[in-house]
Amino acid sequence: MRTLLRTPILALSVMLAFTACSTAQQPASTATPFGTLSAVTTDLGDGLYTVSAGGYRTVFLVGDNGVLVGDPISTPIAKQFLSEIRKVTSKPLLYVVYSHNHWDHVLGGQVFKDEGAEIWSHEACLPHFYRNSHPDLVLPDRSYEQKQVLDVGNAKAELLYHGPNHSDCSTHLYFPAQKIVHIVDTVQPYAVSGAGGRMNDSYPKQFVASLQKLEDEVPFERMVPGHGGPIAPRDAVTNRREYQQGLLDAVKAEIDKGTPFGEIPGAVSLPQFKDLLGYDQYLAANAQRILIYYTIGW
Amino acid sequence: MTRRILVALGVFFLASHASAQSLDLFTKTTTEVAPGVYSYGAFSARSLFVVTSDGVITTDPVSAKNAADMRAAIAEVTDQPVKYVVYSHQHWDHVLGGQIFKDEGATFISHEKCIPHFARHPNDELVMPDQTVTGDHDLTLGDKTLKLMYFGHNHGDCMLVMQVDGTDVLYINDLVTPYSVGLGFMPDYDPGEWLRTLLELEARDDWTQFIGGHGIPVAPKDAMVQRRRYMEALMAAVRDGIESGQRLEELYDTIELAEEFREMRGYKTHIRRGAERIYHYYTMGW
Repeated sequence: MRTLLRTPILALSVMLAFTACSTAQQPASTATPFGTLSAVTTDLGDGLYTVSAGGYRTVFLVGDNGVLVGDPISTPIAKQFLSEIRKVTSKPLLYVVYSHNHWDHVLGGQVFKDEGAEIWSHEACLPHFYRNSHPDLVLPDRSYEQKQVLDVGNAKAELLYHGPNHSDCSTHLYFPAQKIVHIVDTVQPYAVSGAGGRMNDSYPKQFVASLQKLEDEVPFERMVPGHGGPIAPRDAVTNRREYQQGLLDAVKAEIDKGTPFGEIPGAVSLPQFKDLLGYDQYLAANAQRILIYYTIGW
Repeated sequence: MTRRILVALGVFFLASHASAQSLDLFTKTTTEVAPGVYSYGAFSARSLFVVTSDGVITTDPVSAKNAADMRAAIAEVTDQPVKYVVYSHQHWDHVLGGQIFKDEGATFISHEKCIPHFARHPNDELVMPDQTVTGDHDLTLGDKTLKLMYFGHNHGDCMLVMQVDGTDVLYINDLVTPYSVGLGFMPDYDPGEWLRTLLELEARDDWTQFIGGHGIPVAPKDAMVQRRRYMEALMAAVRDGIESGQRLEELYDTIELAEEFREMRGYKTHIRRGAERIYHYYTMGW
């Protein structure tokens, strides 16, 4: 039986990579490399907002009947998010939507649950939550399989599942009125995968198919990420998909060429993506993950 | 491509295991570890086969080449046909190349949780299982029973531990490579559940030696105890680091375990990545 760590985690894993390089995305007053420590809310129009704190970002949608909110992140950050929501509306919290299963995004849901919210996730998150429980993790009340529309009163969010990518239970949270999709960790705009890219529980090949499906089926124009700046153009998704496919192709080419196994990660080069955040630092680590995929089928 | 990958993986293992002990990676041998129970393979990959009064049960074919070699090795000890192939788990470096056994009519078995992996990652060289088991299952053929045991999510989520009933030998595939730290960073590992699995196996008094999926033909129980203690030491070191405020990069650069673990094969190559995997386990819950 494992003993759980209670240490508060500020900003982890995926974005840990970008401590040196993502400040360019942020306003000059930014307190951390990935965002502000204190909460900052951005109005995206028609009742949709994005709020960032402690290096993490979520969204909330205000309708006639109440509010839908994304990841709580952690108990202290959820409290900050709640006070930001309360600056905009006093309506009840109706829904929380977990983006995926990783603790660094989904802890602290009790803060929203206490306001009456019902918690949703994709159904494939449930086995992860059962196996790796955490005292600050509130299990979802409801789950869905392919698509779920949640209506907060003249404002809708679509919970869309496009298959495994960064995890096997990622929800793409789409707001049709705004044509904005909230994508957490699968796409960090114009960045490679961070430290987690080496061995994250990602699905290297389905990753491409998942983003392709999103691009094919959803007429989004912009995206809100789970870290960093508030909004990025649709092209950020295409760019990330093409980087992933480039990695797959480059590693496969080295294998076919007979490059010694241990030398493959260092041999991969994708000059067309050299301007992505973290390219120099993490390209080899990203290639390592792809190499494992080609070797054991995982 | 598969064969090249397997050779490459073997070389990677060799590079990773720069210890004083010499290793023969590719010379395959057959070792009878109990009456009618054989450990077959080399360091690069190792399988179990069992000769019964009514045919042969074999485990992982590994690759078409390995399966052909293993078929020849089986023919050296018996004229019996191969009736069953049991996959230890879903990873390609163990389960490809079974067609030669399919062609002689063998029935393929895996844990049911392997099926979604096989469906999601199709491979032309993979023979899909004909039957699945959901938990512990006795596979009886002739005068022998191969016990298939499921311990949950450890090295992936569909690993079967096997034991011929009445013998003191376990086949545990990648749960432990004897005297090696193993590739501790694989994405589908669950470190906590893996540790639990090893502790449950150790607590059983019906075995004294085991066959791993790589490495020497058969190893004493002590080799499992060593690996379990290594995992505990690694997890404790990472926990201590996190609790003292170390970030991933610092842990990655400074992790060091006690001397007894530094002598294990692969330590220098894999300790940092192993620490990174444990870091994510403790901080992200997977």
